[in-house]
Amino acid sequence: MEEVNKQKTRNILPSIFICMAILLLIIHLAVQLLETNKSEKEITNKDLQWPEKPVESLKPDSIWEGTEFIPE
Amino acid sequence: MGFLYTIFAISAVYWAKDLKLKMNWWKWSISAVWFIFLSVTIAGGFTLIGENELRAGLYFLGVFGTVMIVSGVGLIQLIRSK
Amino acid sequence: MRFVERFKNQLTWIVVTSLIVLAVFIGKNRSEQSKQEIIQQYYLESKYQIRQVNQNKWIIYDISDHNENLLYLGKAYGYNGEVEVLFEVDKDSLIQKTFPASHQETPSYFDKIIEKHFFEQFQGKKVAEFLKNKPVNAVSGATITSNAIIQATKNGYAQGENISVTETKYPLFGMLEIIVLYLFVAGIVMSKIKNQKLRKTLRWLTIFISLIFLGFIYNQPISYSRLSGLLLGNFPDWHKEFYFYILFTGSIVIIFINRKNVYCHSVCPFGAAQEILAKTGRAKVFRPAYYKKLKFVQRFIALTVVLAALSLNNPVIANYEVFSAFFQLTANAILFAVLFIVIILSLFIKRPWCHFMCPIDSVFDYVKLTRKSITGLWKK
Repeated sequence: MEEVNKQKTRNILPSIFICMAILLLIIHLAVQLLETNKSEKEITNKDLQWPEKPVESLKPDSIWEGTEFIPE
Repeated sequence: MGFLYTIFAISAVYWAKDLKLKMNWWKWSISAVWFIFLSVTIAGGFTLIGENELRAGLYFLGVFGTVMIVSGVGLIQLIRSK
Repeated sequence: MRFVERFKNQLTWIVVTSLIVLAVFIGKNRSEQSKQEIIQQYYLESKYQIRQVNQNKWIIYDISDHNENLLYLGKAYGYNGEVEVLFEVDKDSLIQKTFPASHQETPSYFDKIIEKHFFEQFQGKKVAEFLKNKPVNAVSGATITSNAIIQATKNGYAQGENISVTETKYPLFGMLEIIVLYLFVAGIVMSKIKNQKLRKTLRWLTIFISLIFLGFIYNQPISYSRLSGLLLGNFPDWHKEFYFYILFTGSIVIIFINRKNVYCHSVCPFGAAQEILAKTGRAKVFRPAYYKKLKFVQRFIALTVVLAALSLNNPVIANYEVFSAFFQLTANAILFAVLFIVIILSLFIKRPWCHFMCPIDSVFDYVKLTRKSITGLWKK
C-alpha cells in the first residue's frame, strides 16, 4: 500500500510542476501578445533619451579661431 | 554565526549515521565545499537585496541558487552511489 | 484499425496544414503601416512639414525653429524579420536622431538595446561613415538585432542618396557551420556504432560540443519565432547565416530519409543541457497514464501560437522557448520562472522541456506526420 502511494506521489509531483510551467508559458504568451500590439512609438519613444539641443557640428576651423600660428 | 555552523557540522555527522550513508574523507570534503558555496550564495544574494539592489540580488540568488540546487542533487547521488 | 489510424493521421495533417496556409494568407494580406504613417508617429503633422524626395528620403521642416533636415528610412533583416529604422540628418550630414520604425525582434533583446542607449549612440555620427564601416558598437548579447539596425541605417542612406554599396563578402562556412555539420553527422553515425563504449564517448562529446558552442557561445538553436518568420517569407541572409539553413533543412531531410529526429536528440543545445542534468540527478523516464493528453496540450499550444504569429504577421509572438534565458540570461521574469522549474524537473525526469513543452518538438512531429501521410498515399 505504501509503495503504491509512493508511486502515486512520484507521478503527481512532476505532473504538478509540468502543469505549472505550461500555465506560466501561456501567461507569458498572453502578455507578449498584448505588448506587441502596442505601437513602436509608445514603447520606445519615452525610453529614448535625447539631449535638449541637437548635436552641433564640429567646424574644423573653430578650433584654431583666435590662435596665431607662430612658425618655428 | 560560528556557533550555528558548529551545530550544523555536528548534526550532519548524526544525520549521515541515521540515513546509513557510507561517508569517507572525500565525501565529507566535497559536502563541506558545497555547503560553503551555499552559504556564500545566500549571503551574497541577500546582501545585494539589503543594499537596495533588488534586481541584482534576485538574479544572483536565481542563477547561483539554481546551480547550488543542481549540484546539491548531484552530490546526494554521488554520496548514495559509492 | 490500421486504416482508421492512417485516416486520422491524414485528416490531422490536412487540417493543420490548411490552418497554417490560411494564417499565412491572412498575415500577408494585413495592411502594413505606410511609410507616411510611420514618420507621422515621430514627427507630428502639427509641428513638422514633410516632403517626400524618394522611397527612402524625406525633407522635414520644423515649423517652430524653421530648421530643415533630411529624414531617411532604411530596412535590414534582423533575427525574426525586418527591422526598419528612421533617422534624421542635419545640414552637416550628422545624424541627429534615430528611431526604430518597425521590428519583429524578441522583446527582451530589443529592450536590452533600448536600455543600453543604442539608438542614442547614433547621434552626432557622420551618416556617410555608415557606408564604409561600423561607427557604432553592437550591444553585446543582442548582436544580430544591433547589426540589423546599423545595416538598416546604411541601406536607408544608400538608397535615399542612390549610392550603390558593395557588401563585404562573408565566408559561407565558418566555425558555427562546421560545428552544426559535426553535430548532425555524429547524430546519424551514433546509432550505427556497435561498440557501446565508443558510442557513449561520442554521445557525451556531442552533448558537450552542442551545449558549449551551439548553446553558450553562439546561442543559435532553432527558434520558433524564426521558423514563423520563415513561413512569412522572412529569409535570413544565407551568406551570413548559412548555419541556420543547415540546421533547418538538415533536420527535415534526415526525418524524411531516416525517420529519426536527429536535431532534438543530438544537435539541440538545450536538449544537451537536459541530458547532463538527467545524468546528475539520475533522472527516470516519465510516462504517466495521461501522457497523450499532455502531448495534445503541447501540440495545441504550439499550433495556436504559430497561427496567431502568422495571421498577425508578427513572428515574435511565437517566442516562448527558454533557450535565451538559459544561454544568455536574456528573458522576462516569467520565462526565468519556467526555466527554473524545467531545470529542477530535468534532475528527476528525462527531458521534461522536450517532451511536454517544446514547440520545436511539435514541429518535428508535424514533419514526421507529413512523411507518414506522403508514404501512406504512396502505398495506396
